[in-house]
Amino acid sequence: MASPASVAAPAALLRLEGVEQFYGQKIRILGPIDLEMREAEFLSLVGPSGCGKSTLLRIVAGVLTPTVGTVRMGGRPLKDVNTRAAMVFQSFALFPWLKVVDNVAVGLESRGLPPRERLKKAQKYIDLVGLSGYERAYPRELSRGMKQLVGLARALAVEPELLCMDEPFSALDVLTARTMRELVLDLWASPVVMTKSILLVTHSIEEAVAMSDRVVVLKANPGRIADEVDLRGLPRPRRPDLPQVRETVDRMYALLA
Amino acid sequence: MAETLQPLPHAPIGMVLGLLEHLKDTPGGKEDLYKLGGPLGYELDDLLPVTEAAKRLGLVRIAAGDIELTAEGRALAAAEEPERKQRMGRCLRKLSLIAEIRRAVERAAGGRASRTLFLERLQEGFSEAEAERQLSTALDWARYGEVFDFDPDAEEFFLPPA
Amino acid sequence: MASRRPASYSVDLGLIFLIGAVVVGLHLGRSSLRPYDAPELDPRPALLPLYLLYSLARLAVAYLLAVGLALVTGQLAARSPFARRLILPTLDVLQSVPILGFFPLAVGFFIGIFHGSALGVEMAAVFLIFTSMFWNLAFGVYESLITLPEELALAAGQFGLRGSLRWTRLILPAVVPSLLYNSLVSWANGWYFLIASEIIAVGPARYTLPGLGSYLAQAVTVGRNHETVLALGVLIATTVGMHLLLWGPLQIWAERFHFEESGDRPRTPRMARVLGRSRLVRWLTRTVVAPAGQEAIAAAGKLLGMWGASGWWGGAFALLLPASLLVAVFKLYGLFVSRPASPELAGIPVDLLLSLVRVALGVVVSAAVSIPLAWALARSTRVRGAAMAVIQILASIPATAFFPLIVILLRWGIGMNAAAVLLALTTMFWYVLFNVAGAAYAIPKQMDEAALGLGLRGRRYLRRVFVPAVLPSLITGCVTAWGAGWNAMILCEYLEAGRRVYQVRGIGATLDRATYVTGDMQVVAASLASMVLLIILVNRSVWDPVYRRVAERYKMEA
Ligand SMILES: Nc1ncnc2c1ncn2[C@@H]1O[C@H](COP(=O)(O)OP(=O)(O)OP(=O)(O)O)[C@@H](O)[C@H]1O
Ligand SMILES: [Mg+2]
Repeated sequence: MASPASVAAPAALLRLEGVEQFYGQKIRILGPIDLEMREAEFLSLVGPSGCGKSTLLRIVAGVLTPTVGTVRMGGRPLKDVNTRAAMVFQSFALFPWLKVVDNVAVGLESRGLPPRERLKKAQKYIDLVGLSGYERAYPRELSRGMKQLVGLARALAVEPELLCMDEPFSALDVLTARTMRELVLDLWASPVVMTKSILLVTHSIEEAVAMSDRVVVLKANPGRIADEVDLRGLPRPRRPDLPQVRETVDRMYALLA
Repeated sequence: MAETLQPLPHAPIGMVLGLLEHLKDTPGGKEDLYKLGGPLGYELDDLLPVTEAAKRLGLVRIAAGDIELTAEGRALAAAEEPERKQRMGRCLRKLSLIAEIRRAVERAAGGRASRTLFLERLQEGFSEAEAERQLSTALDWARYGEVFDFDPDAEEFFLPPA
Repeated sequence: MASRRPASYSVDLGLIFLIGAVVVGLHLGRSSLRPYDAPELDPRPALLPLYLLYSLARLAVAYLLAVGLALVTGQLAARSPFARRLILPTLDVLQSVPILGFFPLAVGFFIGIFHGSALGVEMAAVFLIFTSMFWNLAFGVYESLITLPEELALAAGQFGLRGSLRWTRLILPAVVPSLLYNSLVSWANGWYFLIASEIIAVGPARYTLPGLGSYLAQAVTVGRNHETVLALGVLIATTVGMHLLLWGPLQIWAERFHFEESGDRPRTPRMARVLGRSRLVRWLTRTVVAPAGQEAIAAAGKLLGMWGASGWWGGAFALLLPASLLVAVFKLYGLFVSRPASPELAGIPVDLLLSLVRVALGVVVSAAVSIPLAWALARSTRVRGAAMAVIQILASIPATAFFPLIVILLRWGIGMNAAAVLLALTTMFWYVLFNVAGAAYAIPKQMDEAALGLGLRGRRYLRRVFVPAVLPSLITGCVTAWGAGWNAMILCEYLEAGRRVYQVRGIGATLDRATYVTGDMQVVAASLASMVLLIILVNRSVWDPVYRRVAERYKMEA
């Protein structure tokens, strides 16, 4: 049943309603949080260490059930793992015993795709992230940057509506991180990639400003939304030395301080 | 024989590409080598293998403390993905170790060459650990340029399918 | 070795009752024990391969059972906090209980079930071997699962790995290294108990299973030296061969399952690394072992995934404990209250003390010999790698193989006391040396150089650098040796060889006499229970605190 309101405005892709996470009986580490994410939005979460960014992301990905509140994906409450989302991890979280191609295909395998299609699709995303040539390598043979490319390809391969990334570039060296940020933005803009909504957790304000449509600032103890900045007016590409970009970064630092 | 195999600097190929992109976006396409580390947040020592690798591949020129893209480097940095790999592949084949392995694989019956063979050859000139590292670096680069691939189960190099 | 983990006393108590229940339950089975005329084994050496096959089959069946159950329980313990609270203490007790003591009872039980057929004896042997193989495998599975990187487990969940797929893609690969590492220990234990079960005649009835162990036993008792040597040769060749052709290649294959940032996961053992230089072994690994290993993972994953999802057996396990507790209390009441106390019960404290002295002596001697030996081994850079590989292989030769030699020594007139300690040492010593040598090899080079720079040499180096560095491993080795020592007491305080009985006073002898000769269930229950109680008490009050303190003080910062 579509409510009258949803006719006027397109339904949000993701909606968190009064979400809270407790540790043990009494300690609330997160919430209450109300958050909405539009279709095709690039949203970043920033905030001090330990404020619950990862927790929030895990709740959205459906690997952690919130103690209180509901997560709605496309209007429907989330009950189990969020199969319409896929996740990229800070530590890459690759299966060390699987070759690159099998790592990328893992999500497709669990979705029951037959081997040939699995391979075809995995190859498509391996090519897209620029990893062709490394299909038969084990993760340990790869540099950190390449490992994260595998992580990205693995997430994109299941063609999720929402891509969740938990500090995906913070374990990388600066040169590699830079290339990867550009790659993610290119893929986001590319018509070949289905995934159009991205939820990024980051420590870096520069990164959030360079990449996102909107930044949500969290504060700690318990983690709650402190502020929100709309960046849709900031033209892309946002080179860090542009005055507008610098000014926005400065403004955000002031917000956090 | 080992003398003809020049050691490779140990830099991940991803960082080499990152350097090229950085230089491409630098106004003038030229940067003071000693200033390069700072804005990128590196110690110069960590960056040296990367610049050395780019130089050996003929993608940058280092002169009078400046680092600058060569024509090939500029073309590669500007290229889109399949073309980039092809260009890099051509550069990689100019390096003795990589060329050597490629030739061995091409000549071998069945298109496969044992890794141990090269390890033993490299050990004539390097310690065992360094020989291992040389081969890993060569493989990391060669895989990017699709010059050759490696089967870790059989421990053999082979040609990637066209 | 699995590290020792804290467990609550209340559960220990529950388990002691559980064991009591088993004892008494077995007693019921024992009443249907009928004499079983064991035919003499055909002593022709040409039959040795066949006997070896029998023994290997028993070991293999027990091993498969142990691995399967270890996977299930280890995974359950890692997953459910409730199951964890039951499973870990059970394993902890299991690893410190002298399994050998329960063997005659298990035989009685299985023979009772199978109405005196040989199948019952077979089942009992497999059961005994199974229990000796199981606990460390289960610990290993549990430990590698709880040390799984958090984000990797999350990724598996997020990408939808469930059921069989979760087993084949995540759990099984993650536990392979520890499973293999522990398999070496398990097989060593398995051989030990296999041969023990085939050598010792059980109770008034004699049971002989055709196998390498019984062949060896018969050769010794009858005094056929030629055949004794031959059987020993086959035994040693088999264990060494399995190392070279099975475990070595498996470990090389398993390298791919290691995590890069592996902290305390077992690394590829030195033996495998030495072996890995051989072309033949590499070829074997590639063409046979690796494909077979992958197949095994796929098959096991399918099997485990089919019913692993349901939690009913977790509940069954949880019910089993209180139920057996009730039965135990009831039966023990019946056993001790309704009947007059056996006069032998009064001697048990002294028996216990005498055995305790022997075991403690074994631990002290093992440690005293191991430290200088490990030091010498670690210092000689030329033999380091090879020596460790040799130690590993030697350690896998079951100590029961030395049994005939002890009997020969006894005939020559060394005292039974000395013989008992000597026999116990053959098992205990390896555990200690193995652990200490491993730690000695792991001393960082820089530390050695720094010590040299400070002028620490000889005895001062030993005291300031070497002993502190190996102390945690020494304790681990001693704890294991301590547990093994009690098994050895049961085995060697009471021997039947050459149709003569050799015995020395101790709890092992009392237990053996009660099971084999008098059949006094009160004495059996009391001596088993008191032994288990003493072992657990010493573990809790001595080994656990010592280990914790040493580990804290001498932990090496990586
Ligand atoms: N297993 C746990 N037990 C107790 N508290 C926990 C546990 N896991 C997380 N927390 C707490 O929850 C809070 C939020 O953790 P979370 O990892 O989500 O923070 P974060 O914002 O991602 O931090 P970081 O920036 O360091 O990654 C922290 O204060 C942390 O201490
Ligand atoms: Mg976090």
